[in-house]
Amino acid sequence: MTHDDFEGDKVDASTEFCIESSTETSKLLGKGLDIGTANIAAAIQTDDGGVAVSVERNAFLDIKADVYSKNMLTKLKVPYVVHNGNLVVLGQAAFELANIFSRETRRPMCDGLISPSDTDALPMIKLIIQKCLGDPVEPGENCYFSVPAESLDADNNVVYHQGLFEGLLRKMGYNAKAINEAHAVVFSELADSDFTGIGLSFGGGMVNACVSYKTIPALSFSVARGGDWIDKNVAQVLGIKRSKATHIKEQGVDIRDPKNREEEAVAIYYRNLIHYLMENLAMRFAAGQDMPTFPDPIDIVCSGGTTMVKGFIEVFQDEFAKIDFPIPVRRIFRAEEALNSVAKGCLVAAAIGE
Amino acid sequence: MENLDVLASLEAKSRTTTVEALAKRGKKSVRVIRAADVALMVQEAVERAIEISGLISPEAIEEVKAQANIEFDRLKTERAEEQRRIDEIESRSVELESTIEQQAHQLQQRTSELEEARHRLAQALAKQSEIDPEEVEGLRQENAQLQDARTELEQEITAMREQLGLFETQALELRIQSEAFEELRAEHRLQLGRLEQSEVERAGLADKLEAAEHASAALNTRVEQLSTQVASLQTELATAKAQPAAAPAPAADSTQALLMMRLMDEIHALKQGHGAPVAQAAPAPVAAAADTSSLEDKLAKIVGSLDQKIEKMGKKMGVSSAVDTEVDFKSLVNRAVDDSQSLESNIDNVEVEKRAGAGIAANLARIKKLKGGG
Ligand SMILES: Nc1ncnc2c1ncn2[C@@H]1O[C@H](COP(=O)(O)OP(=O)(O)OP(=O)(O)O)[C@@H](O)[C@H]1O
Ligand SMILES: [Mg+2]
Repeated sequence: MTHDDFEGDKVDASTEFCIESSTETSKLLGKGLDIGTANIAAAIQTDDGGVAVSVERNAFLDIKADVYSKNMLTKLKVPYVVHNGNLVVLGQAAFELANIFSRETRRPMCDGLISPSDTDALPMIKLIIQKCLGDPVEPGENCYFSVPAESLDADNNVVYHQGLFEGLLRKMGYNAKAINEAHAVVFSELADSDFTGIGLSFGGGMVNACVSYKTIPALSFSVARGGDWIDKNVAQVLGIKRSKATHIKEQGVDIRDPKNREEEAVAIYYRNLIHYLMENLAMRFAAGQDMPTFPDPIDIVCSGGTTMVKGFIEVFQDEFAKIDFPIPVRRIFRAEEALNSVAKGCLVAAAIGE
Repeated sequence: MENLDVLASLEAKSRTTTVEALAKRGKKSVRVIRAADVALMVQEAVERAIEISGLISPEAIEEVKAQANIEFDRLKTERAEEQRRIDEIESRSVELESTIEQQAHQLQQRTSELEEARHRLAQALAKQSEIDPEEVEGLRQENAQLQDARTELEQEITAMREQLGLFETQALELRIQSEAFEELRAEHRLQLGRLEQSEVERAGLADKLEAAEHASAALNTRVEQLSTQVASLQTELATAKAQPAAAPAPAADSTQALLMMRLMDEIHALKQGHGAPVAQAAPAPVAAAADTSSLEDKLAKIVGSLDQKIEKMGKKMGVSSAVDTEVDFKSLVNRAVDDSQSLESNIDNVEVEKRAGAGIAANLARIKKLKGGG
């Protein structure tokens, strides 16, 4: 050891040492959590002024528990838990394995909500959340988590869903608060327009929409169609497994210019989804009484994994031009970090702490 | 020497605190030392202590060292073996990938071959058309028919798929419902009780209605009879008036008028006596029928709304448990938390995907400005 390590005042029995460790701790309080049908993502602020988002797929795959499989999973660093005598592979790895073995993953959430019938999966979801979110920096740290809005086309039960996750996060030591998913998108993407405009989150289970005026949500709703709906229909027309359809869709299709039958199917359902959302948005706008009067044309921002496909915004603009939208729109654009938007918006809310 | 796990001890005996907490206690700076260095210090100290104490002879120390070397070698070999196996698995997976790729490639080739064959066929057909238009027309028609049949088949398949989807959804719903069943049962029974009661009430009402209908029918017949009488009397009267030559006795006229008045009274009384169902309108049967149907409508509505309620509750099992029994959430959450803690898992040794993103300082500043400025 060298004495260079000790500099400054004398060392005695009361001197406290700080042991350097590799796990960095963030002094910045507040965390954002996006609990999505397809992905769970947690956002924190980093010391260098950036944001770090930890993500895991919200999916599992059961495989038979035997010593060989277990060793194999351990060696390949595939996350698993042993549950009810089964090996349950968690997250992205489950999705990948399912694709290789041509099986379906288990998805504990459907259309944006935890399904009451799959409470079996709760311990696993908790593990994933814990892995992404980590422990609170200090007890009672704010954690804002996303919840979907009431759906126009499905009988959804947000109360149960929200209560469950609130409880889970409290139990983990957080001061948990729910925030509407599309409202979170407004928080993360519409700062330049003073948080005025329309935030859209095209997720796996649904599309969430929020009309906001200076951070205040005037209207929120959701439709129970999203990436999963596209996958389901593509799988149906092509006669393939859903996870296969997901794979095709995520493999870089350009929906303006589909190259084969499969891509054609993806493009058709994308267009349909976008059109469906727009019709509903226009209708709600036309019907809404509490709608603010916007002094200037507004922005529409699209985010969420489903917007990641090539040509999304172009097709969106295309479909937008076809309908008679009730208010003037200045700009339609895709969030730069479409997959992080919701988690980041939750983080903004948590940091502001309202 | 026994393995001295200094790092583990450090972890166990040290505590983590925040910089703010230290600052609060007046610390402006802290000394920093690497855990590895602490371990090294301890190791050296122990070795020296043993040496000085003379408790262990130099030979014994040598022996321990030799032992340690053997152990180290063993571990090294094991590691190497492990690594070899991992490499093997990796190379196998690479092989697998390339096989899959090859097959995909083959598939594509086959597809393009097929495409080409089709093209050739089309060309052949086109050529033929120059030679024998009739035959080609026949072929075309046949082709069209085949195409139709195919479309039909495809439609059928799509329909079947939809049906299958429906089945799946139904199966899922059934599952949810059956799970909700326990909680629903009490409510359901209550509703059934109510339903039964309303069924009884309905039966009573129906009896009454039937009786009323009978009475109404009888009365109507009587009214009709009387009406006919009145009508015929009116005709008689008119005829009599039109024949002045016959010089009818004024008495006769007034008698007939009296009779008519009496009949009118009777009709009136009958109408009144008949009660509500007939009171509103003269064509009693129609009124009664309308009334029956409205009653039935009402009952149907009651039954329907009960059905709907029950069904809705089945679908919304979550809501009922969420709204009625908040305790349920807690127990569910607790169970999930407990379960997850006792589960065997390697998740602590696995990394999740981390994405770096742009900061949110601008957003926060903007919100603060908005709030500040009203
Ligand atoms: N590159 C890609 N191209 C097309 N689709 C993609 C791509 N990447 C992800 N997706 C799709 O995005 C969806 C997941 O998006 P996201 O993570 O925003 O959803 P979520 O928040 O989990 O769901 P929800 O908000 O509906 O509950 C999935 O349907 C996935 O298939
Ligand atoms: Mg989402």
